[in-house]
Amino acid sequence: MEKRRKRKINPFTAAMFVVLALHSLSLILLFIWGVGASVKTDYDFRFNVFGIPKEWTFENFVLVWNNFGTQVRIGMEIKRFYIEGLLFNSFFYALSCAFVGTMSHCIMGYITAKFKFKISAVITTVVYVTMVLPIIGTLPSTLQVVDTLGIYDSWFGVWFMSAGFLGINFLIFQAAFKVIPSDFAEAAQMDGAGNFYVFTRIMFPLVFKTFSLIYLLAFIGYWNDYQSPLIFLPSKPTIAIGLYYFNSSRDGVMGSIPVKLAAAVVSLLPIAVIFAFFHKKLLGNLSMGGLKG
Amino acid sequence: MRVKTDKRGGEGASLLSRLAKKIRIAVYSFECLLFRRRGPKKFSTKGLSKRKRNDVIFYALMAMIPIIQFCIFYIVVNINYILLSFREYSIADGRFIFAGFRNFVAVINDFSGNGLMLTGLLNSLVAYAVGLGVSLPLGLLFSFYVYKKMLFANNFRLILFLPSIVPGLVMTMMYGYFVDRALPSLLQLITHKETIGLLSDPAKQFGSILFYCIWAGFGGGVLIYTGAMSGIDDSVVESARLDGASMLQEFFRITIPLIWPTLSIFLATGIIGIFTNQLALFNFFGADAPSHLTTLGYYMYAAVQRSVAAGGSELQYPYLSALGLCMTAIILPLTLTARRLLEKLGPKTY
Repeated sequence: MEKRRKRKINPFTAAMFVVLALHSLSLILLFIWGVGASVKTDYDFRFNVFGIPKEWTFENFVLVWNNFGTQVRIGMEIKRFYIEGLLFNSFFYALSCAFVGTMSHCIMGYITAKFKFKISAVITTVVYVTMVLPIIGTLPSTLQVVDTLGIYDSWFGVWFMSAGFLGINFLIFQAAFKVIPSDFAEAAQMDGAGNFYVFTRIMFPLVFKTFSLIYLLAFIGYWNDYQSPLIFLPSKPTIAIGLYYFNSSRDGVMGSIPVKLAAAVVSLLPIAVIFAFFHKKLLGNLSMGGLKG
Repeated sequence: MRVKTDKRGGEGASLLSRLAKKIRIAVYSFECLLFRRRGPKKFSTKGLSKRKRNDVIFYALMAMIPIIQFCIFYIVVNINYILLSFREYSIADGRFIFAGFRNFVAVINDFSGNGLMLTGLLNSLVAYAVGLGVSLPLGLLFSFYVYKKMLFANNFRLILFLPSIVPGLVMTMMYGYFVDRALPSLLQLITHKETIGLLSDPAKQFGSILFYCIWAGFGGGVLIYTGAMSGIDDSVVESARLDGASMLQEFFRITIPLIWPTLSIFLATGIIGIFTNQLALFNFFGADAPSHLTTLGYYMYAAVQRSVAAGGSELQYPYLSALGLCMTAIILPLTLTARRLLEKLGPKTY
C-alpha cells in the first residue's frame, strides 16, 4: 500500500493534478460568479463586476418571473409566451421526446436481440453503417420533408422525428437484452403469456436501470437543445429558446446583464435538481463503460 | 398452387387474382426471410405455427414506427437531399426546377473566390486541429488520472461532467459576460490600463471562443475514455507494475494500446467535426456572428435558421444541399481511409 502511494506521486501525476485542479476551480468559479452576478443590482454589477455582491437582491428573479418571455408568430397572430408557458413547453418537449426516443431504441434493441430473424441482422448492420458513414447538410432536406408531410411545427412532428432507432443507444439496449437469459420469457410463454406481456412485464423491468439512465441523458439533451426546436417547433418556444432571444435583447431593465444571468440560472434549475439527485447514477453507469449501460 | 379464378371471367378478374397470388407469394417469401428458412421450390399453403405467426405480428407492430421513421428521415431525406442539390428555386414559377451542376459550380466558385467560405474552411480546420492536438491528449491524460483513482479523482470527474449537462447557452452566457466584463475589470485593476473585453476585441474573439470550446469540451471525452480504460484487465496492469513500469510507461505502452480500438473509432468518426463544428458561435452571436469567426458547420445551420426566421424561404436550400454533398464527398472517403490507417498504424497489442 505504501509502495502504491509512493508510485502515485511523481512529477507526471503532480502536473496533471495541478492542471485538473485549475480547470475544476475555473469551472466552479465561473458558476459562482454567474450566480453571484444574478443577485447584484445593475449598478453593483457595473462598478463591482468581479467582487462579491455588496447588496444581495432577488429583484432580478422577480423581474424574470414576471417579464421573461418571448413572442412568436402563429399564422397571422403574434402570441407571447411567459415563463410558465416556456417551462411547460420545455418540460413537455423534453419529457415526451426523450420518452419516445428512448422507447424506440429500447423496442428495437429488444426485438433485434430476442428475435433471431434475418431482418434483425439487417437492422443492426444499418445502425453500424449509419454510425460510421457521415452525411452532412441534410437539414434543408429534412425541413422540406417535414413540411411536405404536414407535421412541421407540431408536437407530433417532433415526436415522430425522435422515434428513430439509429445511434449508440440502440446498441446499448441490444447488449442489455442479449445478456438476459430467455428462461423467464419461455416459462411465461409456457403459461400462456404473449409477446407483449413478456416484453412489458418481464424483459422491460430487467433493463429499467439502463432505460432510466438513457432517458435521463436524453431528457437533459432535449432540455438543453434549442437549435432543433428553433427550426422545427418555432411556435412552441421552450425556455432555452426564450433564453436565446432574451440574451440578445437590449431593451430597458430586461436588457441588463444581472437580469439575463438570473434568467440563465432559472433555466438551469431543473438540470441542477436532476444532477443533485442523480449524479451518482449518471456517473456510476457511465464509468461502467459508457457503451455498456 | 391452384389459384381460383373468377367465375365471371374477364381480363380484370384474372389480373386481380394474379396480383393476389403474387402478394401471397411475396408475403410468404418475407416470412421465409424472417425465419432464415430456405424458400420452398414450390409455393405451399402450409403456414407457420401459431407462435411464430404471433412473433412476426409482434415484431412488425413493434418495429413499424421506428422503421417508417427511418425510411422517411433517413432514406427519403437523403434522396431528397441529393435531388435538391441538383435543383434551384425559380422565383418566377414559385417552384424548384432542374439546375444541373450549377449549385456545385457555385460551391466551387465560392471556395475559390468568396472570402467567407475560405475563412469558414480555415476556421473549421484550425478548430479540428486544436481539438486533435490539445483536447484529445489532455482528455486522455485526465482520463488516465481519473481511471487510476488518483488524488480527488472522483471530485474531478464530477466537476468535469458539469459542462456536459449544463445548457450550452447558459455556459456561453456566463463565460461570455465573464471574459467580456469581469476579466477586463480585473486586468484593469492589476495593470491600471483600460482593457477591451475578449469577445469585443475582434483580434481576440476567435482565440477566446476556441479556448472556451477546449475548456468546456473535454469533460465529455474524459467520461468516455475513462469508461474504455476501466475495461482494461487488471492483471495486465499488475504484471507491468511488477516489471517496474512507470506511470508514463503504463499510459503509453499499456493503456493507449488497449483502448486503441475504441479510440480509433472516435478519431475516425470525429473527422466529420471538421464540417459540423459550430464552435458554439450560435450561442455567442446568434445567426449573425462576425464573418471572420464563421465555421462551415455554423454557416450551414445559421443559413437555414435565417431562412426559417424569414418565413421559410427555400431559396438557399439547393445551394446548402450541394455544399453539404460536397463536404460528404470529401469526408466519406477521408473517414474510411482514416479508420483503415488508424487500425493499421496504431499501437498493436499482442
